[in-house]
Amino acid sequence: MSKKVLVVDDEEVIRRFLRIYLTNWGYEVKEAVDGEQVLEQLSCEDFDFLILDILMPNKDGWQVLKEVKSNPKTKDIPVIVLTAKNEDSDMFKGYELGASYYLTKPFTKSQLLYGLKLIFEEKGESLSMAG
Amino acid sequence: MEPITDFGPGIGEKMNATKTKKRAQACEEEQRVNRIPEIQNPESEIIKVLLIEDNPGDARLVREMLIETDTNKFNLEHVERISEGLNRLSQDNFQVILLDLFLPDSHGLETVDRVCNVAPYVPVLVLTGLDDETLAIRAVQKGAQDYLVKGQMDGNLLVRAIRYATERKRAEEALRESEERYRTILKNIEDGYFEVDIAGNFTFFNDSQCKILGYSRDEMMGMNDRQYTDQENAKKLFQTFNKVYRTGEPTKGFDWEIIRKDGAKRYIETSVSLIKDSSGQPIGFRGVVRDITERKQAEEALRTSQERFRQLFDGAPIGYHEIDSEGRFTQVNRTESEMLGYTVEEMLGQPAWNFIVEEEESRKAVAAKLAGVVLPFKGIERTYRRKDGTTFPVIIEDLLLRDSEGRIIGIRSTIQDITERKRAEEEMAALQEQLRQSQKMEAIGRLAGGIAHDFNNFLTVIKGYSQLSLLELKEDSPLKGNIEEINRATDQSADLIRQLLAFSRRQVMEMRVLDLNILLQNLDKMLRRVIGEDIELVTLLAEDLGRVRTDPGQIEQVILNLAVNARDAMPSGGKLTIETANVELDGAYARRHVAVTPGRYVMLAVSDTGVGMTPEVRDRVFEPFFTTKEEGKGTGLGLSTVYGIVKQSEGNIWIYSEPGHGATFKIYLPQVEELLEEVKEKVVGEELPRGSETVLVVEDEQEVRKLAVRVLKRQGYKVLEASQGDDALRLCEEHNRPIQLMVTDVVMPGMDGRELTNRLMLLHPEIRVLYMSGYTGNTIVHHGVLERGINYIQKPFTVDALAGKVREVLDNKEG
Repeated sequence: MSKKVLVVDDEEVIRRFLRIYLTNWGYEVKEAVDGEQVLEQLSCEDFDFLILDILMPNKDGWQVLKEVKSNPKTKDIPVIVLTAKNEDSDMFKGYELGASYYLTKPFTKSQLLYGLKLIFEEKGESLSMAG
Repeated sequence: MEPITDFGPGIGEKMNATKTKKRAQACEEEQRVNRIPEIQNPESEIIKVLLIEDNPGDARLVREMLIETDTNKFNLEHVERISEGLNRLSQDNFQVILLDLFLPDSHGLETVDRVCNVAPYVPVLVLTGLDDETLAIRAVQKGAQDYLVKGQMDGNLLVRAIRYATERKRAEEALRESEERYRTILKNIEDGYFEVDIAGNFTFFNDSQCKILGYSRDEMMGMNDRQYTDQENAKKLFQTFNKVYRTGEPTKGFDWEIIRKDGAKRYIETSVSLIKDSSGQPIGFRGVVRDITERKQAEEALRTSQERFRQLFDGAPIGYHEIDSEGRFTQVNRTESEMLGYTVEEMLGQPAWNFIVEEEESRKAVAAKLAGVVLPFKGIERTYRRKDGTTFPVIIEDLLLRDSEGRIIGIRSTIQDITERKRAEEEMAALQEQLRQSQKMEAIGRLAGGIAHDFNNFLTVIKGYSQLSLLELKEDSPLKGNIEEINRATDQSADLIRQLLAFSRRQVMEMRVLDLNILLQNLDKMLRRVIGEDIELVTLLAEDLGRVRTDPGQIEQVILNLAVNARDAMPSGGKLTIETANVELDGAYARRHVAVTPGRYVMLAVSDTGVGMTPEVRDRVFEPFFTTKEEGKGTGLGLSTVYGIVKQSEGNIWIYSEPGHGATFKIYLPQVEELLEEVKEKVVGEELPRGSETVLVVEDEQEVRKLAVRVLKRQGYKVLEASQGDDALRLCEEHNRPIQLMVTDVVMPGMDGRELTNRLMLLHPEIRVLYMSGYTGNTIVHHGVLERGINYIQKPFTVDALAGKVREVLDNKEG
């Protein structure tokens, strides 16, 4: 069974890129466009990991991350933060709040893959890449 | 043995000694004719004859005899008185004098004396009567050559007598002259001349010999060598004389030591040869003696001086050498050869520049100096190359060598190994630089710290109220977004302030004893994320790493900041190496590094393979807000924080970097002996913790106090508040029920937090205390290090932090 990922970004372009990559690698991709939507989807569906933007309407990524990580039901879902906020202080904040990987835009395919690799290696799984 | 006493001095004076006083006076009147008759061929020359005769008959007779015999051979001049004769003798040369002893103005032997005195070199023939033969013989003893008896002589006899007299006189004169010459030589030479018999007793010697030995002539005559030398030298003497005796060969330049009469010892150089008698039998020795004591002493002095010079030359603490006009070594002292690891022999004859790293430059310089084109350098620095290839710096001082005509014939140089001086200079320069750097950092730190302190109080208020507002606003309030922005900006400001405080070493450190290896292992995951996929992380952790005391959170911050710095230095990937090691920093290291105490340290090194730094960047890299990154990227506080935290942990940090060769940051933290402490995991609460206990809030800053009171009331606590210590104490006295917790500022006007606690404990022993402060320079935090068992919250605090900390203190079973 393929792994399921929730991609959260208010920008269509980013979502499209991610959808193409991830689908190619054999993941099942779901999408959300703002913070509210993420929490809704998480409450009714199980995901293997999350790719989360920070700057978005209706609850920013920081808040979403905090809530995900403080909810016992969702706190173990790995979160890859994908954001244009490229200050080191933001990166550290992301990790402090529980992000599994912090990726800044513009990003490359290999950076994304590296993040996924880190996540799955730490969970004792190998990176699944169908594509 | 044939004493040659005739050669002895004093003999020349014999004649005078026999003279009467009257004669002596006459002598003064009658000027002596010193002219020696010219050597003439007796066969062909005309003989000038002076006849002094008062009897005209006798005179005529003599003239006739001579004319009769050979007119052409004799030129006879006749005078009648001695005064006339003497006068003529002083005016003219005569080969012979015919003298009558009885003249009107002179009689008998006196006449002979007077004539001989005036013309000692002219032979005198005395003319005497038949009855006067005795007188004639005495005249001959007085110096007359011969005598002729008047009446018995004929022409032939007279001519023959004249001939013989002149010849004999000439021969005598030649002998006398020769003797005189030798006598004069012996008398005047400095060298001693001696003759001894076969037994070694003096038989003849000159004055110098007496002077050399220090004895009088009389004492020395017959003296044996054993009397003026010691046994050892007598033996030496015997051997030498014996050898001369046996071989018949003279010996030259034989040295020995005599003891003078006055006891002084002198060195003598002697040449000895054998004296044989007419039958060839050895009868003694003769020799020349020279006192060479002065020469010996001078030689000895020279030898000592040369030895001293050699010792000085070789043993000097600096190198000396001389080169010839082609630049080749003619002299090298031991010091210099040892400096270079060659033997002196290996160096002699080699060009000086062969040993110099700046070979070509040196060769040209030496040539120019030798050519007189440039003056010798004073104190030029060069690099010498040892035989083993290693090099060291030297200072060379040159002096031109010139011959007597002023032409340059070489160079004499001194060479000083200045390795130590150089090292000391470099160390000193490095130390000064370090000192300057650390003073600069301290000054910046004080400035930054001062600002940060004031900002903290304001930020606490802003942060607190914005958080409270968020909690109190309705979910759909349109103000919510605005306040969230304020909140965010405040967080960022607080972060900035926190970093500034870290840099200025005023951050509160919660010190724990920890193992950096464990900390690094835990941080591994984070580090890999921070550096990204293009950078390889290599960790080299030392086994049995010593423990250090530092704030684990802060040291993590240090490592992460260094990792970020390394990542930015390697935009296209590379390798990040993190290494730990136990190191011992000794006195020598401490002397070269400001503020290092010798001892055991844990070293943490973070190295990258990135772009590296120029020295200018390296010097400033820890300064706050100094950044080489593009604007808007990074605050320029990352490495400042690192610096502050390391310093506050009583550690040191050094950078080693060159452009294009990466950079290494080395941190040294003092090792401690204490055992490891557990690091508490941070508990992230989901909801703000609540309580119902009674809490006393003491804070002189009204805004901060109001914020704390509001937060605590909101979470369900009963809150008492006071703006200073006195008020707080009064409040507690009035309050009969227990007070579980006091939250107090540390620095307040009047009573400070610490004192307030001490006094409050008397009234309410059950009370627990939570201190809050934005500043580390106060009574509970010494040099930024929190005392153990003290509860503390840093301003600016967040609502969450305050609520959480209050709950934590109240719930802590240890109290």
